Amino acid sequence: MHNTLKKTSLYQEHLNLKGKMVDFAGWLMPIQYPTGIIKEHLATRSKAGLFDVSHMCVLDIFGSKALETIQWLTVNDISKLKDGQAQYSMLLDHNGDILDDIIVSKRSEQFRIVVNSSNAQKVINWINNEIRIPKEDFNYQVRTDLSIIALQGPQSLEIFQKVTGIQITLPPFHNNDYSYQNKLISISTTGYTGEKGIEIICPHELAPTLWKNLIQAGATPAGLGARDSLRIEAGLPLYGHEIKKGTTAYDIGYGWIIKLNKGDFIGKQQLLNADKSTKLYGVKLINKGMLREGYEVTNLGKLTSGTYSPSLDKAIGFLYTDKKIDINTQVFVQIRGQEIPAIIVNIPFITKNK
Amino acid sequence: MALILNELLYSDEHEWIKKEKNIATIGITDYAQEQLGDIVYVELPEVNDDFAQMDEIGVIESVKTVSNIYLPVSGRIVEVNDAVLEDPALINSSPYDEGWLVKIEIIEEAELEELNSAEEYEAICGEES
Repeated sequence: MHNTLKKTSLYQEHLNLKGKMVDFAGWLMPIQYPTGIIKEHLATRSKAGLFDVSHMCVLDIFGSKALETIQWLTVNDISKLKDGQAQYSMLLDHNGDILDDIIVSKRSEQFRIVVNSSNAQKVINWINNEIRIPKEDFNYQVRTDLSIIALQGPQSLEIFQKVTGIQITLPPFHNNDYSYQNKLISISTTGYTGEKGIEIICPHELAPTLWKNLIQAGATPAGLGARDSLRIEAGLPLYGHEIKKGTTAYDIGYGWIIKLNKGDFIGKQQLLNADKSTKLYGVKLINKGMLREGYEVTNLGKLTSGTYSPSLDKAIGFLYTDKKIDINTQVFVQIRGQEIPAIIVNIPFITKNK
Repeated sequence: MALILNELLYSDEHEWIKKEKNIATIGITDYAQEQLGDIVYVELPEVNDDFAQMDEIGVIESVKTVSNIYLPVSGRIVEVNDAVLEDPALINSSPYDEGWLVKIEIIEEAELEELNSAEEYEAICGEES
């Protein structure tokens, strides 16, 4: 059954580490290693976690009309991006529904977009259908030749320097290219854990050695399970959960990425009329327990994500509702026919020194 | 490879049972805790609750998934392991010892014969993985 699933350049490393492999958006990825989700999570918070995120899709976009085309396709304003800067953004369809949430980086003469793996084909089809510009003015390349390794946590930069000799001094949401073992690697100060850290984009052939050396230098390999609990603690939305048909960036607290004054873009009309009363709240169980996606919060709505927070030793989740609720309000979550008390809290659930 | 102890009996649903006179201790197997991953929450019945064989007596929640606990044989709950309610990770670290779940008074000895031996249980795990 695994035959049709795609494998990253680090597949053999995951097997060597006895990773528990699962189907994730058509990719065979580790959900955890024998270390376990909680220890992988806590290692990322206290030191450094290492994640294979090569299943994400990298698109390089170039041509004289690249800038204006990306402006038309996305909600944020790339005209002010300087070389080496990155921004969070979204692609909308003509109904204003979110096709994907993305990171756009400016890299001298081109732009790089990193797309969720589950949406990659949809986004590529979308661009092909929407954009009818001669190839010499607008073109893109799907970088299937690159691996992505996320190194996240307070000691990530020291560990990276120990392995590569490269000192990273970039502020958050920046990127730069470096030479490593005579190959070009791109380092981006981004991530999905709420921690200081980097995402390393490198040719496939460098990835296994880099992976092993980073572990040797103290990084803990971590799977998709820890990635999910880390992003929930950090208050970060996930496509298919917080972000789905009918939601806007306003609903999830990312209204600031929508730049209505930058000119026209796909979905802008719908956003001008968007209802902004819906908000994303944090829910935390008062006593021991577990929260999961789909659980009903009495009279308020359903959880879009839920997990156990290793940092707080509490169950936490996201509730997204148009009813106004104050922080610290007590609510009830329906779990197996019982009403379990919880409180509304601010997101992110944890605060970190970046 | 998950640990399977020879002296225990096993349900198809991955509970183990250890009989001493008319009292039996029940827990989940090493194989089960491995499959569940980090366990973060356990719900157990109250002392004196009565259950029939293979009744649901509680719930185990790991970070990844939720799983019911079934009683391998009919019985009355005589003791509940408060330590695992407080620290559910004991089930991961010590499934056959500190991570036991409940003790029951056995009602029908004959039901024990329907359970799996260590060898039979090993075959069940082999089929699943």
